[in-house]
Amino acid sequence: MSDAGVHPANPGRRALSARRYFSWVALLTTACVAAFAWLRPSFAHEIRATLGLEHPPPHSPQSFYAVRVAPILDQHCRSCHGPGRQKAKLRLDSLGAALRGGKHGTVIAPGSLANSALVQRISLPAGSDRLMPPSSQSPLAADEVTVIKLWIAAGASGVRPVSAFSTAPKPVAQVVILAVDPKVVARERRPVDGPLQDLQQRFPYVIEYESRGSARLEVNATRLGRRFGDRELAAFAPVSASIVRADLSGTAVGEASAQALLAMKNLRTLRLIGVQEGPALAAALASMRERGIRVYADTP
Amino acid sequence: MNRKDNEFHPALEPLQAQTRRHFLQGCAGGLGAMFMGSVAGLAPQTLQAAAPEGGEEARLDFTRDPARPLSPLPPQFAPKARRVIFLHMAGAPSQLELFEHKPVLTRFDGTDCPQSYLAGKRFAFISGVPKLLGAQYPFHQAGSHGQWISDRLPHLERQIDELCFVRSLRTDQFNHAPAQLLVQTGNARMGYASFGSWVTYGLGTENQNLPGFIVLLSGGKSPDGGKQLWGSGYLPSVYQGVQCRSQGEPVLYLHNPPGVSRPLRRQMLDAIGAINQQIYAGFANPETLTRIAQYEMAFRMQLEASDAMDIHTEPASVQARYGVEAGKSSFANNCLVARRLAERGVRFIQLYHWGWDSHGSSENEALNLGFKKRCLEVDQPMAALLADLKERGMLDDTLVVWGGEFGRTPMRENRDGQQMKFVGRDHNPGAYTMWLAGGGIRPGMSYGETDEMGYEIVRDPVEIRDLHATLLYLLGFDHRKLNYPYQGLEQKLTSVKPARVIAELLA
Amino acid sequence: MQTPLKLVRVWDLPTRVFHWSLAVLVLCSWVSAENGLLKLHLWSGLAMLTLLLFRILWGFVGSSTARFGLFVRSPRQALGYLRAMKRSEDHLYAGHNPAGGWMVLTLLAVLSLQAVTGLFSNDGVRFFGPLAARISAAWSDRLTTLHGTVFDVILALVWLHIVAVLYYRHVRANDLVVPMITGRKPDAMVPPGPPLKFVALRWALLCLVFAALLVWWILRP
Repeated sequence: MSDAGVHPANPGRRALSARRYFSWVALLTTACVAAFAWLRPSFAHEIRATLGLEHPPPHSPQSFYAVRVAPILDQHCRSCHGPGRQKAKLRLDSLGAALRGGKHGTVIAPGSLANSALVQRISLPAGSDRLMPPSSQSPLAADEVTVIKLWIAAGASGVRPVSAFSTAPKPVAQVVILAVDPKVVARERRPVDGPLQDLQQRFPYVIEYESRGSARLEVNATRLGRRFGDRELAAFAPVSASIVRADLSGTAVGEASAQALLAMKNLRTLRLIGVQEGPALAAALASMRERGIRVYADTP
Repeated sequence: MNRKDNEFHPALEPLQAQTRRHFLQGCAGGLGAMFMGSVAGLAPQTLQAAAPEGGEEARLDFTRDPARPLSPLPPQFAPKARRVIFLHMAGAPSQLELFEHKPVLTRFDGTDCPQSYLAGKRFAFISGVPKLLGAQYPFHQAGSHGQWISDRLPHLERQIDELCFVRSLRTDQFNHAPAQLLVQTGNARMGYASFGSWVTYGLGTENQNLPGFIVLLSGGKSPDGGKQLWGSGYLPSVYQGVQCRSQGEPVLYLHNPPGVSRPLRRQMLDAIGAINQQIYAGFANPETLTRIAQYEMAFRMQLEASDAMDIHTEPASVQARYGVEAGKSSFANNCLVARRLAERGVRFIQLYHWGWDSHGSSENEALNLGFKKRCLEVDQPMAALLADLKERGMLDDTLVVWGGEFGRTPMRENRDGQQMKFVGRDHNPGAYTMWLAGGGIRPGMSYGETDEMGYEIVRDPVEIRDLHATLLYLLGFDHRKLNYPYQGLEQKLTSVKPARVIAELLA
Repeated sequence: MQTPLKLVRVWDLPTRVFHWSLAVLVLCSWVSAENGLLKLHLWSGLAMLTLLLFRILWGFVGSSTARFGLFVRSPRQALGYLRAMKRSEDHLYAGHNPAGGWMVLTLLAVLSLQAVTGLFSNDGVRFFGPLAARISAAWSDRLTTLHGTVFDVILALVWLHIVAVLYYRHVRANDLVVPMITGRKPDAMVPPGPPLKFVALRWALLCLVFAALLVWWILRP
């Protein structure tokens, strides 16, 4: 040992040996980590998960949790408490994670609503700072709050079946509007675009895409009246497979258009009010009706 | 100030033509750009807060050729409805005398209203302790689904299987004008765009020779909310409702005055158009092009509007079916006009019928007198309208909406605490009934439920914005995507609170 | 009787103020984040960013012991120093020793990364970093997650730093804490060598102002 062990300013003071010092460091560090793990269950879980000691709780796909509770949590909570982000180190996208809790401890106390932070946070009055989900997200409906409360009060189980919750409110039908990828739409429209532009030049406001997210077409020639006849309809042949709706009421189409109409393989609705129906046309309409196409014509 | 300064000085004109707009655009840096630069660091918090979910998707683009502002645009996704006929019963018709069968209320007719109904509520006219008022007309079940209806609407009854009753609508406005504004513009204050304006903004119209949004009034008076009810608010003014008349000239001042022939009118419009084009070249205000388009539309309308509004060309049987009164202005005439306009590709047709405010303060407002007349005025025409649309295969893509701005109380109105001379009810914003038909609505059902007195909602409350969201969904729009940037917000018909599309109402 | 200690000036004032301010700000940032005081957290982070930029500048134009060029050694030299320390045969250094030099660089780099990721972070509810609007929401989320992870790294580095400093104090009888406060070390703890150069305070102030302007410029283009 070198004589650097004696502090020049304080000769009387004995220095620690390296071994003793590092023993103290190891002891204190372990104590801190243990205290941290005890105070933060999510931290303890991370250690256990790395050591392979974590087992997911039992759960079945027919349970009330899977059928009613999980979809609510996924819809309203997953964006901040899921795989992408774990606010307050809490994840709600799996039963195990939800039961484990987060930075401030457990959020679900099975069987006790009063001790469940999750219940408290979702039950706050609207406009409250601490309300979950926060005001920037879509709020939980009253029925959804009831479903979560019933589930927790009954023990937050992952196996209890739907039938065990007879008092649960019926699920509210949700209307989901799917997002549309503009690139996919552009790709689908490419084969039809060229002939469509030509037809739109020739017949303004007669033919257009069904919607912004669709490559299917709608035809409405009622504005042109008698000026639109069999010859004009024949011009639509290049795109007839894409036409899903055609309104030719009050036009001059007749027998000669029966084939053209049958060629519209993807037609779903046809309006032909005020159009003379000869035998060929009547037969065509009958066969369309059989195929399930909605036909509005003078003769039922 | 020197008098001379007010004289016209040609040399000064170019200087006078330099507007504030030019200054802001032209000056180096631009005041706007400097302002934005100073708040760029602070902006994120407010902008992000105003743009919640859906921020990743692109905004829908509603730009069009300014010379053709009403040209049709495809909806966001495949629609069920392509046009709307909105029948607004101004004054608030009593649902308890038409559609809400409440036998318990009838049993308590004449008894004092319980305190629990009065505590904490604000009424338009009721004061003290009013008496409960049972239904004034008998109810029965009709149609294949056993829907309850009173005996006041025998013709509508025959179409009851097409109707979807929403019994749990509620509003937070208890007076006519703000409540009507809420129903029509999504906001109880003035300055917002009406439902028809939003629809024509989003979808345009199929017939470029007629306005996209037409309004017809009947009943003797305009609704309390005034012209704002079909106004365009902050949307470009071309999308406002055009009020037409079903008696006399359909559109005031549409026809040329004596001495002005149609070719002469054409020359005038060409000259005015040329001047407007010059002004547009100088100021680039898109409203100028819209103005040109409006003049052109009016010119085309001279031919087509008169034809569309002329119900006398309809066969007598059709006129009789609607109960048309020749030469007069009436709801029946308006319904037939509405059907004709729908056939001619008008996107949004709105009918207002005034006189439903059955307070009981006068004969006209009495449930046992004036109300009877109102029912007679609307029953036959609206039933005929539904039948007609169905016959022409148009009901499946025409949304028909009928209703008022709020409901009426189960209590008999006692203005100033006195028993009124006539029978009436006060305003009830807590619950009211509308019916919907066609355009993708599930027929033959009732949605929502009120308590046994018909006073408050007990199941499935529907806010006005939920109704708007549902109707816009049927027209092919996510209500959050049909928007217009104004005052730092993406303005929508459904305003700022979250609204839900009611799946149960969809076919 | 003790001979009076001769103290030698080692650390200049800017470096010392920087060191302790940074420590306080790290603590402040940690505490404010834990308690949801995000406005304070933002200001603490911006102050840290300014100080870090200052330190980088000072590392090129400052006093001898602050200059990167003078205390950053090759990794091999740093490892050699550590091995020598194990055998208790290490040399004394006036400023940062080779291993300490790398500790400083690592801390500066990691803290800078933390400050920068913080600028782009968000809390998913109401709070957004000053530059969060410049990038997509997905990237803001990724950087927020990184901001959270880097904090754990900082905790580990701070632990290592404190363990090392206390090791010197208790095992090697070489107190590094007091010199970082007073700026002076006992003469016996300073190796002989060329005299240390100290740069005037006004240059430090200039660097600080420059750093502050740089931060302001980044946030408000």
